[in-house]
Formats: sequence, C-alpha cells, structure tokens
Amino acid sequence: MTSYLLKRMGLMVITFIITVFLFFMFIKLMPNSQPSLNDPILEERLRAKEGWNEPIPIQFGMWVRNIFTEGSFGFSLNKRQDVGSYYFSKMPASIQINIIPYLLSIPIAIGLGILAALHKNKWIDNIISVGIMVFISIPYFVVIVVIQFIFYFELGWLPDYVVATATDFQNNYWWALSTYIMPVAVLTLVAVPGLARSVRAELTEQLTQDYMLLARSKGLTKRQATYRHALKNALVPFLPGIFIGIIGVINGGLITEKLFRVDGTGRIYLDAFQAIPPDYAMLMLITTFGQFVALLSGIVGDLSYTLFDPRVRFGSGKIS
Amino acid sequence: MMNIDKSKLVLVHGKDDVITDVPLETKEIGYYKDSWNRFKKNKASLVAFIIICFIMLFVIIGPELKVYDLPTRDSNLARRLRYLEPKIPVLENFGIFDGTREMKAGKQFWHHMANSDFGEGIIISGFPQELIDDVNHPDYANQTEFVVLVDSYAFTNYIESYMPVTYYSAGTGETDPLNPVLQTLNGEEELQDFLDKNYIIDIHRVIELTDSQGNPTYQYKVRVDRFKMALNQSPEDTYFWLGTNKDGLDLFTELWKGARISIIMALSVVVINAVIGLTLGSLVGYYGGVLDLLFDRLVEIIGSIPFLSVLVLLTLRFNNEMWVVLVAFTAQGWIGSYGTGRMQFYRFKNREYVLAARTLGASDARIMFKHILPNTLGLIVTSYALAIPAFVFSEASYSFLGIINYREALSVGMLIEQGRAAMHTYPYLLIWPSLYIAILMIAFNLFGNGLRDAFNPSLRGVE
Repeated sequence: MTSYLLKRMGLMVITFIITVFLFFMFIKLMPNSQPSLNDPILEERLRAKEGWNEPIPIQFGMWVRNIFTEGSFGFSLNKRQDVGSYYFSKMPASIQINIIPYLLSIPIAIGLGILAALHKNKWIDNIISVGIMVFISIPYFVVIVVIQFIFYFELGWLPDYVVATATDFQNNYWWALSTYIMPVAVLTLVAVPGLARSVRAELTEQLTQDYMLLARSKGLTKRQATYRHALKNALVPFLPGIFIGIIGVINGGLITEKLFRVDGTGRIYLDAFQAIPPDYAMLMLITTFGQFVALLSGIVGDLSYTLFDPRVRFGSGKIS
Repeated sequence: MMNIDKSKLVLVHGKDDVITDVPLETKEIGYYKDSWNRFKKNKASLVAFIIICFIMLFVIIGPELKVYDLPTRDSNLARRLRYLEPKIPVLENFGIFDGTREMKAGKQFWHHMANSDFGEGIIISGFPQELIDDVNHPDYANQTEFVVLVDSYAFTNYIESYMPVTYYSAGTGETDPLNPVLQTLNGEEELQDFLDKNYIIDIHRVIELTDSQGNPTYQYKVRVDRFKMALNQSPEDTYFWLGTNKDGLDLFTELWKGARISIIMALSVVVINAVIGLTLGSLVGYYGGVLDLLFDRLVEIIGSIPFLSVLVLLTLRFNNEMWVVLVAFTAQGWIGSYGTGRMQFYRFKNREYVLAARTLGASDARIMFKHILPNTLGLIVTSYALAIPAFVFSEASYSFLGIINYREALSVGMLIEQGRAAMHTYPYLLIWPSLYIAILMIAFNLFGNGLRDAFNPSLRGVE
C-alpha cells in the first residue's frame, strides 16, 4: 500500500511541476511580461535576480532558487513589495470569512441529506429536494446579491451589506462582528445544497442494498440498520472531500470577496488581473499556490481514502 | 400400430388456401420512444422544456423586437435617457410597469416643475398642493426636500431638456446653471434644421462670433426636447419594457443580446467539446493499450491546470475576443466527454454484439459508429444537456467578475454586476437579469435531470 501511495504522490508532484513550468513559460511569453520601470536601480536589481536576459528554463530555475534561498516569489510592481509577503498577509481575512460557513455547512448538509433519504418521496423529501434544486441551479452570486438587496436595501434589517474592516473592529467590535452574520449565513446557505444532494443520493442507494435487508431480517430496526450500516457506507465517499475542503478554505473565493468587500486573497487576484500592465509575478504566485493547494488536497484525499475505506486499502494493487 | 386408410385423410387447408398471420396489435416501442414516454410522464421536466423553448424563442427574436438604435447612433444622447423605469403598454394601467419612480429634490425645483408648461403632468403624488401654489407656504417652512412620485420618462426629459436638478443648488458660480441641458448650435443652418424638426423649446442665448474671414457668425444656446430629438416621440409614447441602464441602453434588448451570446457560446463549447472529446475518447477506449497510457498522463496534466488561470492568461494575451473564451473553455472542457466516451467504448467493446459484428466482418469504424455509438448516445446526450447550464453558470460568474467581457454585447453576468452597483436606487436593473438567469438555470437543470431519468431509468431519482 505504501508503494502505491508513493507512486501516486510521485505522479502528482511531477504533474505539479509540469503545470507550474507551463504557466511560467506562458507568462514569460507575454509581450508585456518585462515591464519597463521608471526606477533604473530597481530594474537592474530585478534583472540580475530574476535573470531577465536568460532563456526561460534558466529563469524558471532562478525563480525556484529564489523561493528556496530567499523565500521570494517575485516582486510586485503594483504593490511595490514582495508578492509572497503581500499575498500571505491577506490570507487571514479570506480564512476568516470562509471557515465558519464551511464548518457549519457540512453537518447541515449531511443532516438534510439523511433526512431526505430516509423520507424519500414524502413531503419532507420533496421540500428538501426542491430547495436543493433551486439553490444548486441559481448561480450563488445571484443569490447573494438578491439577499443583500432584500435584507439590506429593502427591509433594512442588516447593519451593512458588506463585512466590516479592521478599523471598524477597533471602533465598535460588536457592530463589526454583527456584519458577519449575514455573509456567514448566506455562504452556509449556498454551500449546503451540493453536498446535501450527494449525501441523499448515496444514502438512498445504500438503503436499497442487500446488506440492509440482511440487517433487517436479523432483527435490527430500520433506525438501527440505517445508523449502524447504511450511514457509515454512505458517508465514506465524502470524507476526503471534507478534508480537501478545509484546505480549500484558505484559497478564498473571488466572487465572495468581491460581493462582501473582503480584503483578502480573491481581491488580489482581480487586482493583479486588472492592473495595467498585469501583475504577472502575483498571478504566477497565486497560480502556483493554487496548484500547490490542489496537490495537497490530492494527497490528503488519497491518504484519507485509504484510512477510511478498507476496500481501497486492501484492493490497492488493482487500482493503480 | 393403427392402420388408417390413406383415402380417409383429408387436408385441413386446401392447397390454394392462403394462411394469413394476424399482426400483433401491440405497438412497437423502441428505445427512444420509450425514453420519450418516460420523459412525458415527468411533468416538471416537461414544463422546464417548454420554458426553455420560450427562452430560445426570445433569444432568437428578442433583440430584434424593439427597434432602438440610438446608442449606436449617438451614445451621448442615449446616455441622457439613462435609468428609465420599466414601462409596458396595457400593464401600466394596473399600477405595475408604469414607469414611475420616487425622486428626491428641493421644493423650489418641484414648485417650478409643477408650474411650468414643460413640467406638466410629471408629478404624480407626494408634493403638497399648497407648495405648488406658494413655494414659501408657512406649513412646510422647515422642509426643504421632498420625495415625490414622478413619471420617470417625463421627469428625465424635464431634467435633461429643460432644467437640471441642480438648478437651484448650483450656487451663484460663474457658470450658467442651465449648462447641462443646453445644446450649442453653430450658425443659422443648424438652427433652421432644428426649428424645422420642432426640437427646440426656447432659445436661451445667442453668442456673436467672428470666423476666420472676419464675418460674424452666430452660436445659439438652445434648450431642446431630448426625447423628440432622440426618438422623435414624447415621453408618454415611449416604452422601455424593462427600463434602461446607466448608458441609456434598453435592458430588454441587452438582456436578450447577452442571453443570445451566452447560449451561442454554450452550444459551440458543448459541440466542440463533444467532437474532440468523443473522437479521442472512442479511439482511446476502443484501441486501448499504449494510447490509453499516454492519454492517461496527458489528461491528468491538462486536467490539473486551474481553469481560471487559463482563462485569465488567455484574455490577457489575446484580449476579450469570443474565440479566446471559446478556446479557454474547450482547452480542458473536452476532458469530460473524453472520459465518457472512453468509458463507454471500453465497456462495450467486449460485448457479444460487437463480437458478432466482428465475426460478420464489420470494420472497426463500422463497429464504432454503427454499433457502439448508438448504444452510448443516451448517456452522452444527457451529459450535454447538463453541460449547457454548467457553461452558462461559469460564463455568468466570470463576466460578473469582469474577466469575460465581450465586445459584441453585455453578457448577463455583466448586467447583473451593473444592477448590483445600482441596486439601492434602481432595483429593476438587478431584478430582471437575475430572474432571467435563475429561471434559465432551473429550467435547464430540471430538463437535464428529466432527460437523464428518461434515458437511464435505473438512475431515476438518484440525485
């Protein structure tokens, strides 16, 4: 099993390196990737450090070397500082708004999915299914904007339609905290349907399996059989996803941060994209980091699968 | 053994009798007929299908329903017709879509409007009669501003043609407070032209200038009826069904234009993905071997590239052309249908009917297209029915963020973003595009699910 895992991880790392290099090359091939600076000293320094006159593979090598020797991912001309320190300084804000909805949405989604599956085709299932259908279909930014409009501009129930800034927290802590209620509630709402639908589907399928019939015939009640057997089997496929999601939380979301005016990593992405000339060093960092997170997720997913699902553990030889 | 005299044997049927078989009276139900029957039973999907047909109809004819070329002819003039509320004939009599809006302005301004000829009938309610008669009425001495329900069309015409809202609050600066509404006409000819067309309300000022030869010329500062100039009709006869946006574009036309472009893009993306993915998938699935191993790696690398980065880099490199968006969405999009195709061909290539076909001498191509493909078609069609809303979803998201930004039209995501920016004052700009995309997405998903259940009854109600 270890060799299987190692093999998979090795492939993942190779894929990671290839994609990052492809991006680096593509960015270097952009016509305006080497900006002309007003500051000759800075330009000279960057030229020497990042090897602007060298061929692209060597530049890539220097870029990697700089990461390991100096911890520097490049210099942002827009922000006038190192991209790495700027990007990672904005990360707490993204985590702050994403972590609670994420933690809330999982139990709610699983609960709703189980409820719907147990009462399949009854009214309670119909209500949940219609709700899931509606919220899965409508793009979530539409849901968020409409909720902002109704509850802030029409009804006036909310303290604000965007989240409070750091200075607001210093001035009036409780008011600032109260601005987080709506975003957290809405983000939970839009995160629930996808998982709930999968849980319902999976549990529905498990409930019709033969082992359930056996469990009932040996004398377990439906409740016992469901909780002891069906539920365990139904939830296994989601556990890796749940772990991967925690890693994903730090990556923030472009739309969420734009809508709630969060000063986080998502906004940096849009800033880097919209700047003239675009902030390529920043884009490179964000892409690399995103890829790195995806790599981690993949590894964590694989590990947790082997931990939670014995079928993968013992049958590993055949899958690769 | 019995002995029977042969002469006693008689034929039951005469030699000339024709034996006719009674045909089966049950109707033959094939795979597609059966699927259609199942689909019909699913009422929600059927309704969704009808809604989709309606939307498609409007996507085709919607942009042409209203002839409104002002923004392309004169965008500055169009901008004067910005933020007009929705107004629809007939419905306006029932208190909805009547083009009214609440506006806040100083009482001097309202007083002047109520008493001028040009401002007749603009104020619907909210401004007291006493103030119309006497602007300094003692009962309202403390209140300087009023929120008044107005006809937004006539009101816009008034503030764009006759008197700006800032007229009384502009202070006593050097500039003429009427400047925002004045039109400059150079020379007699332009004046005569405008007089002939009956645009002019009054001539505010005449400036005498000398041209390069030293002859005197005249410049006229006039107030013109903007609605007449722009559309050659009065505000009462003007209908923008869903209102106008910040640039004076007709929201109804723009919405369907945006819808058209996103549907066209969705269909192209799905078709391209299907062709590339299915071709590769079927070849790889059917032949397998080294090809399979090679493509496995390739697909893993391509699939792991984040889509957003591809889109961003491509748009930065080649600008926001339609083909760039197309390339970005198909660069990785084919992987999905590649997977479907490969799986299906892999699964079916060892079935008995394929063996039978091969025994009869069918070529590989014939087996693939005549035997395996029709068997997988149901599943494939279903996955594409769900791919269209998925594309519309992500296209709307990225255009909402401003990453996709067509030159040809405002996409629906852009319209929602504009509506979001103006939602506190002009909610209709947010509501209509949101409603459109909500209905479209729900309808497509219901339809897709119905289609899946119809083609693959074993999956019914799984999700």
